[in-house]
Amino acid sequence: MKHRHLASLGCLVVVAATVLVGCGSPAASKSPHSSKTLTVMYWTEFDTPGTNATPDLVKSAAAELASQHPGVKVVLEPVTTDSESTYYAKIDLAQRSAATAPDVVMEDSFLIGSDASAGFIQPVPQLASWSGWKHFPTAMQGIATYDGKIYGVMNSTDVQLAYYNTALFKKAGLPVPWQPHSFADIVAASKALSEHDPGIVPTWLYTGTPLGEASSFRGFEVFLDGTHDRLYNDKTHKWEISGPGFTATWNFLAAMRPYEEPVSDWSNPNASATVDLNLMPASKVGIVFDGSWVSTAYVPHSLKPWPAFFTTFDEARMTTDGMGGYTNQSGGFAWSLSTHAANPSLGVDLIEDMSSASNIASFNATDGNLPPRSDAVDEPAWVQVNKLDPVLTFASKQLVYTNYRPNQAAYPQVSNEIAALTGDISSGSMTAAQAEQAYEAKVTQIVGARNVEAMSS
Amino acid sequence: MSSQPVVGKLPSAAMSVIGVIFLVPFVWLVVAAFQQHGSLELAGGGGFTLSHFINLFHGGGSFLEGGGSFLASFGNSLYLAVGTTVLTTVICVLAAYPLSRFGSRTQEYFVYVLVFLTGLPIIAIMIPTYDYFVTLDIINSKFWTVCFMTATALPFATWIARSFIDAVPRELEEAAWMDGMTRAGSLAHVVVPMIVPGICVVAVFTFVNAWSDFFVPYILLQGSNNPASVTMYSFFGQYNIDYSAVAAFAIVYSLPPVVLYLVVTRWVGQGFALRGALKG
Amino acid sequence: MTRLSDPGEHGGSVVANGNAAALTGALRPARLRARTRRRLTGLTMVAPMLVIVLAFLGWPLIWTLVLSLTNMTVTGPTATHYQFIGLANYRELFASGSGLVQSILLSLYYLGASAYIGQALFGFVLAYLMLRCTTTVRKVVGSIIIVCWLVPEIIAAWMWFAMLSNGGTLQQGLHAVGIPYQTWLVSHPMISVSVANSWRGVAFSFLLFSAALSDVPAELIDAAQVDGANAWQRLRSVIIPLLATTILVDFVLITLGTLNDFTLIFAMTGGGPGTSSNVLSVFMYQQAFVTFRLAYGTASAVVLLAIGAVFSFIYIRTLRRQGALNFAR
Repeated sequence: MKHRHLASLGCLVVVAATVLVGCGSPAASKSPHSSKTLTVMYWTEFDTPGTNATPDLVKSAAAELASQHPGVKVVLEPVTTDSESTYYAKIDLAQRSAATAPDVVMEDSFLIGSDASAGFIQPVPQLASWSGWKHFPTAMQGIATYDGKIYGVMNSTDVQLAYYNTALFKKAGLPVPWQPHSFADIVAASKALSEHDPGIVPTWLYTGTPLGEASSFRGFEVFLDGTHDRLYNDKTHKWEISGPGFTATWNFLAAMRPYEEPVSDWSNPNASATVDLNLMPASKVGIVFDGSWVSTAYVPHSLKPWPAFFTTFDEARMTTDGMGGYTNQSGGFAWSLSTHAANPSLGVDLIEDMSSASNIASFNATDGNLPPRSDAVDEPAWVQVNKLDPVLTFASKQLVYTNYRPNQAAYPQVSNEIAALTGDISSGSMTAAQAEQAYEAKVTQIVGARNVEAMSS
Repeated sequence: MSSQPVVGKLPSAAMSVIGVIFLVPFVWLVVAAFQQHGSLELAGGGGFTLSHFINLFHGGGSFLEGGGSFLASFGNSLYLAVGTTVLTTVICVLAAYPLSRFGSRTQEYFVYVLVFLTGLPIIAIMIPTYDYFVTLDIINSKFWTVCFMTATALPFATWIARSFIDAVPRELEEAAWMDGMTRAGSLAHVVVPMIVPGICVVAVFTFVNAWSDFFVPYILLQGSNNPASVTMYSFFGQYNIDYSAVAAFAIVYSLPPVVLYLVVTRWVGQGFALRGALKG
Repeated sequence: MTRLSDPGEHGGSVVANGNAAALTGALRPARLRARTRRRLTGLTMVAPMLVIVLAFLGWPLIWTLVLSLTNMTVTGPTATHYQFIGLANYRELFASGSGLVQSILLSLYYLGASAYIGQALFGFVLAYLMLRCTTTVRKVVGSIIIVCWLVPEIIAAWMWFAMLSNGGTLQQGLHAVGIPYQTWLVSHPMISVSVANSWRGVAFSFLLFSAALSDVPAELIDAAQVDGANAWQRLRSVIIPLLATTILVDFVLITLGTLNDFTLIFAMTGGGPGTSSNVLSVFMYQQAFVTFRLAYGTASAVVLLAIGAVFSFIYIRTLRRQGALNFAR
């Protein structure tokens, strides 16, 4: 009586085994490196939802490359991950072996130093003599340089802005247009907003580990840039761990604690959606410190068009702490050449094609970032998108003030500590003084006592 | 004989309430999936629609952009789960037979090792496994991921299969040997038919685990090879979530283990409920 | 009991058991050959499992131990040129301020709340009540509980994430009856994930206990009742002692499952806010893939392995005492 069952089970096993062997060739899914094929690895989540900015860019450059070198093939290798840090881990793990490494890889600029020192990407000195190189401002060349050698070409960049709700500002009796000139100005405006309307989030700041590197970059470093201190001293080759600027920045974050978003907002994995899609459109937030791409979510033809954004919010520059002038900090992605690339000169040709003024302009026009190449702003694609989105024009002008993260192997770890400390301040588990002390101790532990210095001036 | 306690109204009422509480998370999922544009809230997501389910099978909709289509990730899950189940079931029955029948010191220790491996936290060895797969150049391959998943499922499966074979009286096999049957013959024609319920336990258990496995494919596979669990995870931090589409995805992805369980329990009946398996 | 020899031992000689066969068999070449053949058959049958387990579990296990003694990172100079640094990773792990102790405590919390209370105890109560329910309730509610267990873990995480989120169903429901709701995922992350894990995992203990309870002989209960024992006394002095082994097996298995759990917490809270739900498995992941310290993360994995090994050992001892590992020789 059980025979029928057994027979059908047997059939199932045989069918399944056949299917398994049939469609699963044991070979890994990648072809080995060949001198005629280039593989390009990139992060799919980097594209604005609903667009294919990166694949379009690679395809456009691949077509140009094919006209120069007939028979050359470019293969896309998209990596989909939930978060930026998982993308970094994925590409770095892939680059450990020639079998999984791509030829050309989209590198987050802050990992260039670290990945170069790991030997994952190779120097490309020939780019210095490329005709396009001179169109990249010094800061954009510097981001992609490690230990005096060029390691790639910046493809997109960004600056930080203070978006503020003009209606809420007027109600709170604050001047419009508004431009802070010190940390105290920001605290004062936040306080005024909070006193006038306790139901809103006065100021939205990136903070804590759930928001990853952004909390360190946008929640700490861009403010530190407004002081005399820096994370890393390029002249002495030492990490700065303390100084008046550090003290001022830690104190600023602690002073902002009563006025920033509640813990439930920043510790939510959907934090950026919370502020961009809920708080801002509902006029529930006064000031938002965020990257220059925020407005691209609201232009016509985007997923959530919101034309009123451009009249509801205005933008202020990132200020120094009473030193006069402005500051900023930029990140972005670069195209780099893997150490395992079979045909480096072909890879460099592809990178150059992807970095042409028109390709960079089209890519950033679609993706809402800023072109790192100065002559790209005159390209039709960029001019056109600026008509729709005037914030981009304003943002581009901030690039002259910009700084970038230290291109050091230890940066990812240091950044991680900063992100954790910003969260500790926001949740109230640490005071500014405790965070300052903890930072000194952690960085000393990471890079060693010989590689740190304290700023006294 | 079993105890037959008196059926009471109070326990029935209490259990009904508990049942309703257990259902609550599903309510949101189902409501969102059939709404036009569902959100985290229960109400106000527009009228009833089947479009999210239909979209899954027609290109996957824009929300899956980058993660491959729904059908592709579903297919990958099927490959991983069916592959692991078939390999595990066949290999564990083969291995369990001598472990049950040919008792020796070595085999006793072997079984200890098996039970020990059953408790091994697979998550703890994933980082070195990644490194190992990269070195062997078998990273991002569904076939080798199936082999790894089979290895993780085998200790428990073999252990269960062995206890089922133990329960088959030797006399039945001995009669078959008298008729000139070999060991392999008696395994196939005498033992296996007797332990079909046990094989089903192993198969369903392996399938359900492999189907829902997230961490192993998350580490060993990427891009177009990702199964539905990894695709599902990519929705957690997404900027602009179409809750209805994701809910429809979640429902379809959850169905196979549920259906399989229901079909198999009906087929093999009462003996299924873990009892023989875990009580040794 | 007398039993026929297996076909490997030609001829119809009758032997008492395997031991006797081995003893007498060793004396004659034909028997020796037969035993070798039998061993060969056995080895051939075990071989596929042996190969796959050694290749895909054995070697990674050894490699885990090796890597934990190095300074390998995901990026930076030590990504490719890593060195052996002895036990330095372990020294750092067990030094104060590493977060390991907090993670172990959180894992124990998760174990206590979601496995022992939420699954074992609750599962026992469910099984006990279920025996006293009408057939319809038994079927319907039993199915609901089992479906929660069958749903892929990532889906369970997603549903609970949505339920407990700011603006989610729970907030909406509580708001409707006038109770304020603080986002649990943030204010009580460990409770959130423990509730979700209990919801998902209780079916296992429930099924195990249901089977065991239905095997309790009615006469014993009747006898206790005649002796004047009330329901609680019957439970304590008759039922629980009979179920002792089942309870132990259940505890060990859910302990191992819960210690190894990663997906639910990783997806629902990512170990946060801050490190407030950073159980050992998430700690390990964070160290390896977020702070990029592969070897250090691997060293914390070895700690996880060691804890798992202790419970596996308890499991084996339980099974041995119970006789489940006795070998018919």
